[in-house]
Amino acid sequence: MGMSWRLVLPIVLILAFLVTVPIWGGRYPTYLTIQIMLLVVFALGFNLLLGYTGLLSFGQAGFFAVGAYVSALILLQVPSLLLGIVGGVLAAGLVALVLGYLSVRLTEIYFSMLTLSFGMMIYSLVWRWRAVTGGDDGLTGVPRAPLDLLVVSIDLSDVMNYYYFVLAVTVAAVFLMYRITKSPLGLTFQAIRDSATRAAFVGIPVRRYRLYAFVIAGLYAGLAGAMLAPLERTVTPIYSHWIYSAEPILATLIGGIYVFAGPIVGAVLFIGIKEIIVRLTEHWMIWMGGIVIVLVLGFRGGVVGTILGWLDKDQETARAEEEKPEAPGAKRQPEAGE
Amino acid sequence: MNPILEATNLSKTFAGMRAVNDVHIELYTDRVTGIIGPNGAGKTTLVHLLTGHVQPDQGQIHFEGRDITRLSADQRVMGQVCRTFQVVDIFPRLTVFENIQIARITREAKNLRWFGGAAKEAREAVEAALEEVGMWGFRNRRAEQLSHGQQRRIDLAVTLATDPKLCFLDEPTSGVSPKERDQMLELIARLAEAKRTTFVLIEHDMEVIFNLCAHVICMHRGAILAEGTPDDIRANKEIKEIYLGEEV
Repeated sequence: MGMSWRLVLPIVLILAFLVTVPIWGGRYPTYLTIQIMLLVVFALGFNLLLGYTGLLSFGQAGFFAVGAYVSALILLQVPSLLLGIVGGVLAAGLVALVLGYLSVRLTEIYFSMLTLSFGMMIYSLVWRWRAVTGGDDGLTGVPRAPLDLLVVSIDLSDVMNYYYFVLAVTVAAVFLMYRITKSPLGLTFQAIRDSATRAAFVGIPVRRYRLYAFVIAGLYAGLAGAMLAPLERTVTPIYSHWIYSAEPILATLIGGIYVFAGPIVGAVLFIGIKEIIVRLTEHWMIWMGGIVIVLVLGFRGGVVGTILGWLDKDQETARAEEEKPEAPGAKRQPEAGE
Repeated sequence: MNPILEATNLSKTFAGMRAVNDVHIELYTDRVTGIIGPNGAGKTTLVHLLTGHVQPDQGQIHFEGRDITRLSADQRVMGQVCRTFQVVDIFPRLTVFENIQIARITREAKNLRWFGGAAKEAREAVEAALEEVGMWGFRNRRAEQLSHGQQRRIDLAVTLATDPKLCFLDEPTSGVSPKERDQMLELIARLAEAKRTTFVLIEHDMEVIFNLCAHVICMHRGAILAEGTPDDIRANKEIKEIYLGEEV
């Protein structure tokens, strides 16, 4: 896949760190790391829409909740974790397909407002459909069912075991998203983000590809939600509220929308900062808001984007030396190794 | 010879104002056509209609004998009708290389490949396109970092990478330096000479039109006022009156 050691080494170190968290961390840091991983999955999906396709959705919590509720409903009937997760993800994808079909007809603020409305419709449905969703009480007693893999059944009832399941799924989800962003499909999304008109004038059916991005983002939100239900053992309507949609938005803004690692670093910072502030004050939202403002204003392009920008400046001068304008039609000199 | 594109009774009204009024136009493959006219004459709206950017209120458009009137812009591009815009429209955050590459990936219908890396796709075609417009040295630059003239070249390269049989260039030399303008005209002339693409130029600059075009269409108030060779247009009294004071 062409990864350099500069990229591989940090990834190996991070994975080694994550694998050992339950060993040295104890229960609460393990639980907190799961929360971070769920936000990573949620925010990566969200950023495929915002950073890669140029669509700001305020309704992602709706798909997160669909994943969580469907997963919980399945697990309350059938004690199979895999079935619960897959069911939650597919349900969120299906809802995203239907709502996305209607939403991608609009762009910019109109798209955002429509997704906000659809998200709040899901919230309303969850709140009022008491027979299925439990209304404001939500669904309780969701089992952390065993993971059945053909002949093996792995017990995940302990959160320390469940952690490894979430870690494996998150690593797979991050890798998959990385491949998507580097693929022709990812490039197509970025072209649409930069100029929808120009994208149409290279032959891209813009609306259809926006829908693809919307569905993938919905699947990722659903996956995060589906993994949350067995973690918390309870699902309540708050997960479908638009305020919950703000979490991936803030994580992505903090980390950087134009960098793949932005939402990942942003999720770590968001939950890390929140965790520290709630210990100091009950008015954590005010302080969190202030910190987000400072980070967003101080790090234009997000923390990761800004740091990469600093590193890139060093290479800029050297590159300018290399580049010389050519006359149109002039044959280039072969590069070394060609 | 049959026209490559024929539009009949084409009309478009915006907020009660008829921007294009019952236009009949035929474009042929053996020549570069220029569309001229004063500001507000309807040139750009006509091109919007022919390329699917805007749908006509009435009229038909046939490309290579096929009715394309209701096709969207992307469907027309895949059918090999493409264009550039008056204001440069490229993908600013993508590199120069990726700008051309996305056009090639789309032409080769590879957009849905979601796992393999994009970097290796269509390399040879992108290299050839960048050499053609003299921008190979800038391939790793983000397009937004280029000068206006360089962006114009990339705009043209992106358009040509879609393999158009018919290509509309909307003021391709506007806002560029005299040197870049000459390079651009030389490039268009060379590409037209190769006869892979039929070019239609929309221009204010008469020197550009008369140097490049074998056939000129003059529009006024949404309709075609006159058409013919550059000499016919130069001799037309009505056109002289419209351009009052301008040398035609």
